[in-house]
Amino acid sequence: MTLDVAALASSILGSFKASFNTQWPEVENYAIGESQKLAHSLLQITTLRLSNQISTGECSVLLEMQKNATRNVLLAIEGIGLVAVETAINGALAAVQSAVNGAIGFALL
Amino acid sequence: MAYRRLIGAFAMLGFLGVAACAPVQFVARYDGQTDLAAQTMQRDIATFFVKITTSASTADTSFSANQGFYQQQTVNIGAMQLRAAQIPKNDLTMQQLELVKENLAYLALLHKHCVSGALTDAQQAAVRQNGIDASLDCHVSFGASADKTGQGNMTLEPFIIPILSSQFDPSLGAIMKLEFAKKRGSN
Repeated sequence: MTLDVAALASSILGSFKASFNTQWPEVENYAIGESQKLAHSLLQITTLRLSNQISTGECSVLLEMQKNATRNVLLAIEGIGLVAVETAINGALAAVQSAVNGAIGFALL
Repeated sequence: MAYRRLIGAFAMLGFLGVAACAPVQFVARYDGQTDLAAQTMQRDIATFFVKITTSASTADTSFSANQGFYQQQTVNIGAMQLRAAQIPKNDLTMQQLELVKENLAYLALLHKHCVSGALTDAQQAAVRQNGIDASLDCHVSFGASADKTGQGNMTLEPFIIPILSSQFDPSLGAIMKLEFAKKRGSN
């Protein structure tokens, strides 16, 4: 059995994109690079197991570690997206700050 | 009814008082010490991997010869977690550090050859609960398949180092990446 690293990376990237649909533009570049790295690691683990260079136990541990590494990247993507949303909201509020505060008569924003 | 309106008006004024001039914040502020500690840990782990792949003698790659590395990383990740927990709205970084701790625990299990079959849910739960076992033995309570003593002479195969590097580097890089984003363009 052979695995296509480009196809794996594409599947991972598609999953990332579906999970971060509204924040996608902010995280796309980072996600593309990380999906390729993750696909390569999965290919390496699979290849070592198929060639009996690692045991079932080692393969299982390496896959669990890979899942954790992927989760870690996803958390960073989530955080970057949240910071982007936060920046957008604060920027929008700042843009209308003087007009709103002037109209209401005190520092609302 | 008037009383309720008065209460509501005071509540609104209180809210406005708190909200006035306060920017929205979903994620913690940048923490230079977390950033630096992640960089240091990445360097320590990379140095450890270079040692494993370039040592001429298997004695140098044994767990007992590298026990100090595991002891030090146990201290380091604990210190990073303690600091991260003190920072408001830092849940994402705390989750990231927990995942790095789990992977360090799995690295120790791999090095000591403590896992003999596919990981069970109980083993994964033990790793999450008890973290890194820097002792020279295998313990079920730390995720091993069975309790075993005297595993210090076990070695880490150099050919799995590229895989391990490709797991730790993005993980610690992700922590640095999120810290960088927390700067919010201020630097």
